[in-house]
Amino acid sequence: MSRHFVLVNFAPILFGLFWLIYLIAWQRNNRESFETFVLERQVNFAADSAIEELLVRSPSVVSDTTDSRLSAAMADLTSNEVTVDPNIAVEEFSTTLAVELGLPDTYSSREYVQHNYIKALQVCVNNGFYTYTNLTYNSKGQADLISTPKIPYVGVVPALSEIPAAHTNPDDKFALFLSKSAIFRILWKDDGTINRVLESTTLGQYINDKISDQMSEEINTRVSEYMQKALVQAYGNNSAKTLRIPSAPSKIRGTMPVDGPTVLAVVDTSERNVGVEVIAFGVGGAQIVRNDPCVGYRHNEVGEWLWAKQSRLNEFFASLGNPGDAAFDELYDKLADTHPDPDPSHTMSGLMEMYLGRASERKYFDNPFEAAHFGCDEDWVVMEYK
Amino acid sequence: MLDFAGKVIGIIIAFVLCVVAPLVNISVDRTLLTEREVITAATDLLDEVVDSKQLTDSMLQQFAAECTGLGASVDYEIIHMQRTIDSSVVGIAGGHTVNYYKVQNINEYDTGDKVGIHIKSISLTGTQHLAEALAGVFIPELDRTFYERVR
Repeated sequence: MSRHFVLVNFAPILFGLFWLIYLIAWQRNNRESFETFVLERQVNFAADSAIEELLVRSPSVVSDTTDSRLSAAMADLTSNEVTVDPNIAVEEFSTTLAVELGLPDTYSSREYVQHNYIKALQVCVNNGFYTYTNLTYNSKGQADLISTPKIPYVGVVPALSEIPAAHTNPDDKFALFLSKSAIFRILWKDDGTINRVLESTTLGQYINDKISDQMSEEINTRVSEYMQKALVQAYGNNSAKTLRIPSAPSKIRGTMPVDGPTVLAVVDTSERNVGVEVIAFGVGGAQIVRNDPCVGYRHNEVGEWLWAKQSRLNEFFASLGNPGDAAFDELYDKLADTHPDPDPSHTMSGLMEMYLGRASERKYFDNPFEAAHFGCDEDWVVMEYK
Repeated sequence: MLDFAGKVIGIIIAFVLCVVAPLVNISVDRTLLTEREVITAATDLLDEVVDSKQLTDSMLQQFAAECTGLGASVDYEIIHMQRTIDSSVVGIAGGHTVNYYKVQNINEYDTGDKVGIHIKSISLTGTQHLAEALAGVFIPELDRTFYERVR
C-alpha cells in the first residue's frame, strides 16, 4: 500500500485496536459487577434464612413463674446465655446457597458448597460469636469448614468511666452483649487468673446512648477482627482478598452490621464456571423483627404478661398474648420439649468458669481454628480476655 | 489502485469506529442493565411473597408486565419448597431434622417455607445479537435462581 494510506490510516487502526482492548476489559468488568450483584443478593438471602432458622430452632425459654422448669430456664435469660447450635445456621445457609447456585438440595451439595464456596462465616448471638473458615487440614489438600468456639464480645468502654458512680477505669475490660442491657467487668485475681464479676445489675443501670454506641463499636470491631483472621486462613495471607466490616456506625444510616443476632458470610465463586471470579459479602437479619419467635415471658409489677423475643433478650413486649392463647401453648410445648430437665450449670456463669479454669493449657496452637480442629475449643476463649 | 483500496479500508475503519463501536457499547451496556432490572423485579416479587405469604395472579401479571416493559424475553418458574420437621430423626444440630419438599401449590406459603424463582432467558435479545454479530461480543444467557425464606 502506498505511504499515503499508511500515514492516513495508522491512527484509526491503532484507535480501533485500543477500542477492542477497551471493549474486552469493559465487558469483563461489567460481567464481574453483574456477577457480584447477583451473588450478593443470593448470599444475603441465604444469610437471612440462616439466622431466622437459628432463632426459630434455638431452645431458649424464659419465665418467672413458680414452675421449676420455667424458673431454671429464666436463669438463662438473667445470665445472658442463649442456648444455640450454630450448625443450624451453617446448614441452613449451605442449603439455601446450594439451591440458589443450581445444585440439588442434598447432603453432598451442602458439603460441596461448604468446602468450595464459603470462605468465612460468622454466627453472632447475644453473648458471643462463632467464626467458621475453610481450613486445609492434611497433606492431600482436603479442606473443611471449621469453627472457633464461641468467642465472647470483650472490649473496653471508656465512656462508662466518665460516670463517677460506676467506679470503673477507662482500660477496664468488659464482657459485652448484643442486647446492650447487661455488662460484666473482668477482674484479675492476685494469682494472675481471671475472675468474672457479675455486675450486670449495678453497671447495667448506667448504660446510656454513648456507652451503648461504644459497646456496639467494640462488638463490631471484635467480629471484624475474626472475619479478617478467617479470611487469612481461607486465602493463605493473600491480602488482596480480605475485607473489613465497618466498625464505626454509618453516619447516614446509623446502623452497624452486627446490631443483633446475625449471620455474616463471605462467599467466593472462583470454583464456579462463570468466567469471572466473584467474592460477595452478605449480612443476614435485615428483617429479623418480622420473624422473631417468642422465647419466654414474665409478669410485670401489676401482674401483666410480658413476652421476650429471641433476637432481643431482656426487652419485653406486652402484645403477644395470654396463657391459653395459641402463642402461649406453643411456647409451653416448646419448653417441655427443650427443657425436660434443665441443667442449672448450663448458664453463662458456669461455662465461663469452666473456660477460665483451663487458661493454663492454651500454649499449643497458633490460631483458634487450629485449636478447634484438635478439639481444644475453650482455650481460645480464655485468651480473648487478655 | 492501491490508493483506492486504502480509501475503502479507511472508510470501513471510520464506519466501525463511528457507528459500530458506540452501538456495541450501548448494546452490551443495555443488555447487562436489563438483566439487573429483571433480577431486581424478580427479587422484589420474592420480597412481596415473603411478607404476604401468598402469591396472587395479579402479582405474577405485574412481574410479567415489568419484564416485558424492560424488553427482556425471559421465562421464569416459581418454586415452593415446603418446610417439614421430622421429629423422629435427630439432626446434626441435636434437634429435629428439617427437610424441604418441592410442592405444586405456589399460591400459599407458611412460615419457614422457601419461595424461589428461576429466571432463564428464552433466547438472545436483539442487542445481544447485534453485539455478537458486529463485534463478536458474546454475553451469556441469563440463568439465575433465588430463594428466600418466608417470614
